Amino acid sequence: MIGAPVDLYLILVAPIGVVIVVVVLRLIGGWRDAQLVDEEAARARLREQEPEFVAREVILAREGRGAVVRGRLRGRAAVALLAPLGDRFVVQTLPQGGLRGLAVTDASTLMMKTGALAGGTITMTFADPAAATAAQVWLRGQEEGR
Amino acid sequence: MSGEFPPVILWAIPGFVALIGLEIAVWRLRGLGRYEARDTATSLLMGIGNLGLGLVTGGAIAAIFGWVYSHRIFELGREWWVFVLCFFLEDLLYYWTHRLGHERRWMWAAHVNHHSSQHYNLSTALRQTWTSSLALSFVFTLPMALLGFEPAMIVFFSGCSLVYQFWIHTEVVRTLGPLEWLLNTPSHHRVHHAFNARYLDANYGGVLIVWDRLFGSFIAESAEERPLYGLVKNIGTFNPLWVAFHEWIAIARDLARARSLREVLGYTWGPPGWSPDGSRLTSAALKAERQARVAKGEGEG
Repeated sequence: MIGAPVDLYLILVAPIGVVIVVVVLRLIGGWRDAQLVDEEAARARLREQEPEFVAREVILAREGRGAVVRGRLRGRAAVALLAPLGDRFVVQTLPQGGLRGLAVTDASTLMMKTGALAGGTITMTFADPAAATAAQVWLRGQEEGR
Repeated sequence: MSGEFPPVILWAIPGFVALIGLEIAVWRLRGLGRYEARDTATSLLMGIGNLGLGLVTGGAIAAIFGWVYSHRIFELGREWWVFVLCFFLEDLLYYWTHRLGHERRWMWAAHVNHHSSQHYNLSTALRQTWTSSLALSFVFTLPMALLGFEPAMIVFFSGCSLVYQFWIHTEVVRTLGPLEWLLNTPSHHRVHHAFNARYLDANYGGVLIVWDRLFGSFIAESAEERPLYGLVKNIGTFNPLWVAFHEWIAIARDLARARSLREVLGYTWGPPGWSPDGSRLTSAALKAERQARVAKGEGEG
């Protein structure tokens, strides 16, 4: 609560300690990228973070590195995005008008801009162009100005 | 400012490092309290930043405490009972400062970073604020100096509280038996770090949990629902700058579109999640939704 006097030297040396910890953790299995094994895993993660979201359909990103979920949130049509962050997923729900931008960077990859301050640009690559197109249709319905 | 009192936080740093090493070993051997390198790096960098900013702001805050102490009401000195009283009073004021840090958005903006990890391990304890001075958290302890407690003594007990709170950020220790009634424990603090609706806004105590029992904010960890860690709306980055400042930026963005004094006050001193049209959800609203789900038999979620 009150600033305690600290040793400046310690602060200068501490980042070296952080690098050592990261290297050690990486070597012993502490660097794992989040992966959804199937659609049910996406639904389960969504139930944890957004229990009011009623998931209807799920499109997984390639290798389970995210998901787009169509459903309803508090009685309105909504889309949820599960974006990987380290070994966890960050969930963002998009009500109608909640998507700021959507770009197709190649046939299977979408770049979505949400209103989130951090992590507001999500790039997701899908298994094939058909899955990307289906996700795109859902997301177009949530775009700003719709 | 520390006078003859030991710099407990500095002295504890080797212990922090050793315990983190031990917890990592337990994770590898028993699978408890998972570590993730990027998440841990963010937490450690937040801790280092907190110490660095303490160098910048510590002098000014020490001067304020010194000035208030020079106008003290009582000459308390260093009798044994003054130490006892100082411990309890500091812990009580910590409870209220911490509670306001969750219930008022201006103060939450400084504290949110501590809750921003989706992991719960000893490194999470070091994910400390960079902006507590901006939130004016220290103001709540100033009355102690006015009463006559030495600022160095207040710093000492405040440091002891922080050191105590380090070890409770763990999933390795389940419960402490009868001590659960008196002390803030790993179990109580897991509840505090959970975003499950049933656990929101609970267990604000520093060393003692009795304040929560006394002021109605105590919630016990339930075997029916494991705590899920992080924020109601998690942030999608490990960047410490975003972690430290994102809520302040969100406040600024909201204030830019505020249309009345009511909205300005709501966006700054309302509960986190407040919005003029109710389109965002506060903890109270999330808890009400959960109650409705439970009543409908849709499970604990």
